[in-house]
Amino acid sequence: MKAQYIKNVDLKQLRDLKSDFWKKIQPNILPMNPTPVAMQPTQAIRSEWESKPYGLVKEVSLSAAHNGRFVAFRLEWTDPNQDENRHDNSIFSDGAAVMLASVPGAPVTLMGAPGMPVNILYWRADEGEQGRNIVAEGIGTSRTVDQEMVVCTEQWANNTWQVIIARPLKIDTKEGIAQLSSGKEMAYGVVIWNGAGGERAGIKSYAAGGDQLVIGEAG
Amino acid sequence: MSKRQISMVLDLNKCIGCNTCSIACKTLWTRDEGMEYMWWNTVNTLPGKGTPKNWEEMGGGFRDGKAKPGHIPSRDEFGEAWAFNYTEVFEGGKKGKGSHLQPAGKPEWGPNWDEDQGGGSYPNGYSFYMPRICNHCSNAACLEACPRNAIEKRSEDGIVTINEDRCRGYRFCMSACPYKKIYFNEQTKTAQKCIFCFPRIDQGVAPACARQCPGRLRFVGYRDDEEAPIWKLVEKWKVAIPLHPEYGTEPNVFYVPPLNPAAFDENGNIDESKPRIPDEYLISVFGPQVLDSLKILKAEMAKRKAGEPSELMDILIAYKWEDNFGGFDRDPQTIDWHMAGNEAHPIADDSNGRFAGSDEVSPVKIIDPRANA
Repeated sequence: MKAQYIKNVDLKQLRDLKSDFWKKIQPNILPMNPTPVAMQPTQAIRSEWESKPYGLVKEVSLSAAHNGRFVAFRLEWTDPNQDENRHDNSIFSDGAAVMLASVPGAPVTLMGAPGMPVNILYWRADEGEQGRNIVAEGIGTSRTVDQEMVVCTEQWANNTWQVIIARPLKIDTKEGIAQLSSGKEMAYGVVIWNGAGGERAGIKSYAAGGDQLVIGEAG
Repeated sequence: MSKRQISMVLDLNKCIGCNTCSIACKTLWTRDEGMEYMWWNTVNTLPGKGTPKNWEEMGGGFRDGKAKPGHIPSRDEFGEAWAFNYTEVFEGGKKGKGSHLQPAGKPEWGPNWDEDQGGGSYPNGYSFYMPRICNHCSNAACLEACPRNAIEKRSEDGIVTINEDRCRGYRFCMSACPYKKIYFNEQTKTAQKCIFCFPRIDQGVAPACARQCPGRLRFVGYRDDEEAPIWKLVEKWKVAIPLHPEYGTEPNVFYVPPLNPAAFDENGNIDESKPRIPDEYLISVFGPQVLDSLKILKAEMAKRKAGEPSELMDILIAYKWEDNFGGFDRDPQTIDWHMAGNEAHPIADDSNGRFAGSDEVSPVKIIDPRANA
């Protein structure tokens, strides 16, 4: 999977669902599965969800592009319900995230490991354009490091979410985020939460990128 | 496991259902936006559906050591904070067409909706009041359920708190808590609940619900303090027992159960052989230990009536109010809460004493409602 270099586009165009360059990028279609119930971190969650369906989103389309300064991930998936505003205690928001290995060998499927962080670029429907830049070193350890660097674009129409999650390729921080540059390769994964199904936290659909994400060479 | 465990005992025989405790808590902790529907302290009538509605049927907790799936109470089940037509009543009424105060819409439930309905039938109707806060459980289901480790049990006193910086509003705690005492704040997108007034505890002051109780029915203190009422009521006299012990969370709030008068027979005579409140009902609420507790209470009452001394009765009578608080008896008005590290409350310039308890009306300028509750 390649984050294709796009010449002469700014962040605004990268974040625009209607930008022409997106039509020219062949999306990766990733099959999604529910995260295993045995991997849920607490007994209460395992007990509640062992007999309930989750992982309702079965497939996600992923494309990626960058302009030398910013990288953008475009996600599309089918969801008959637009769950973005809470109306009650038992209503949850739709959400999506792209996970990147911050260091070589970081286990993306396990949300990292101690000393081997993964970087999660996170969107939630009720938080809109303001995404989250998250670091995790294992299940249950995710921590928002900032709410400024990750910006999102969202649109729900025709039973489909289209979401773009963008951030600078490099961020000046000591946090364990993935620092990106042309030619760099890393493991990646995608997560989708279907709010109508009560999905949140580890109750979600997950797709591991079978290959490496490559940041395309500028030129 | 905390080093010590702070605890509360509530003597249900002294509760008059006035909800002063609820208001003390409400004015102190849940007045911000998003907290309108929250009542960290509630008082309901039993038998009854309670708050949230039918909470005892919502699951959660542990059975046979295994987490039992639970239900997240809805806003309707808790009961929304009703909006009233104050403007219409006080400013908009036309001559001869006065409006009376009423909530907007048609509420179908609220935090004390079934007050005084009770159970049984004439002439053997019965009811008692059930004040509830978070139980600050030793085996807290909320803490176990949280995938983000956002719920903590303070090592120094066992108070269960939610770290709102870590909480992401997933609400597994709400389904896991079998007592349904956790609320979701739509503004902060975090779960919130009773904190046992820990900023007061840190300063040696009992929780507001306890200090403001006109009935002096609440006791506070460490469970292992053998000189204080908690240990004596729970461990020594064994009259204070937990609510729904079968939920498996090891609550640290205990109740002295309601003394059960004799029933009337069909001729209207007192039948000492039959209790007014069916034993089965009390057992369903407090577990089988309730019958032993009531036996001890009745025996000690009889001793006292016969002119004999009874330590238990002396404790429950609460001759000296401060003795209820196991050392947490510091007067909050003697504390500079700003220096104590607590931020100023918006009501900082309220000097009319409206937050003061009946026993603590202050003639001095009020700095913080914590100083009066």
